[in-house]
Amino acid sequence: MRIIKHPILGDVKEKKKVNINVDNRQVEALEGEPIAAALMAAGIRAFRRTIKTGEPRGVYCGIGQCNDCIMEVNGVPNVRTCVTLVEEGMIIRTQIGLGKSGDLDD
Amino acid sequence: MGKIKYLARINCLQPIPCNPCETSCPFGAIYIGDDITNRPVLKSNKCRGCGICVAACPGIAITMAMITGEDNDYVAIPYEYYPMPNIGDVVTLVDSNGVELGKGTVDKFSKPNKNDPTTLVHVVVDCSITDRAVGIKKHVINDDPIICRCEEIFESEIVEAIRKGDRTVEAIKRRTRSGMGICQGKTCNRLVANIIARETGIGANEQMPSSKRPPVGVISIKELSQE
Repeated sequence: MRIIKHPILGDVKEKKKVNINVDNRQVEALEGEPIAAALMAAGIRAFRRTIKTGEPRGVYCGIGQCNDCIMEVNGVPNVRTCVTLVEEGMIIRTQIGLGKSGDLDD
Repeated sequence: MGKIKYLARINCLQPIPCNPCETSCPFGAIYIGDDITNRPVLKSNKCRGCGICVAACPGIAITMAMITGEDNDYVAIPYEYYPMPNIGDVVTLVDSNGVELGKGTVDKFSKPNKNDPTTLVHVVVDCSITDRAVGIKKHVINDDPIICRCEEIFESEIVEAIRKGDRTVEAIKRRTRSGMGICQGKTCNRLVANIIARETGIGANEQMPSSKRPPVGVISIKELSQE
């Protein structure tokens, strides 16, 4: 999902790097890219687990419609990672079912 | 009569403003006329079976057929899915309504236009189905696909609800929860309507539409409560 070279949009200029925390792992992201793009670039494809079958889910529509890529971001569950941009120091967690809100330290 | 060759077969059903078949044909064998919504007509004496129109048609509504006069004929069908079949594979041929006609064996592949990625799959078929075979049934990886991704409702559950008498998206929503998840039915409503159409014959446009209620996107209670 991280587009570096594009026939219409051109090449991406040098971008500032930011660090995010994904399930207690440091991941390097490019400033201004969607969370999902940073995760895919880091090799993370399972963003959440479903409540009934426990199956992994990740990017599906990529445009904010399907809500398949939702995760817990800074303690807020059900955040659509494909349309939410990364910020320095974001804390992102794999969401189980509908997720939990609040306390990040448990 | 020359040697046996492929001829284009136009399976275009809709009078829509579209003419790449006419303009792409190097031999002037396809005629649409002054009204661009006319359906194309093949002048079979001019068609050389090159397949360029097959690749050019955006609606994959042109195929080719080679009538051998023997038990088996050949059809060439544009196929734009992965995985591609392999040579020698037995595939299922369908008519323009998607109804299965029978099996055929993949003979070869061709790309009529090097600037167009569309691949034609050449299939040996029984001569009884040559006239109607316009598609290859897509290889189905999952025989019970998920329909509502938010609530994890599978196709079999939707079909079961229809068997129990549900005839609208709304009724199926109440019985199965399909469409009650976080995306508010944006992904599954149309799929459910199509399954109802397939199972009951009630067209998706003739069904009672499902009710739409705000909010259309995910927002927090906090956003609602702020003045």
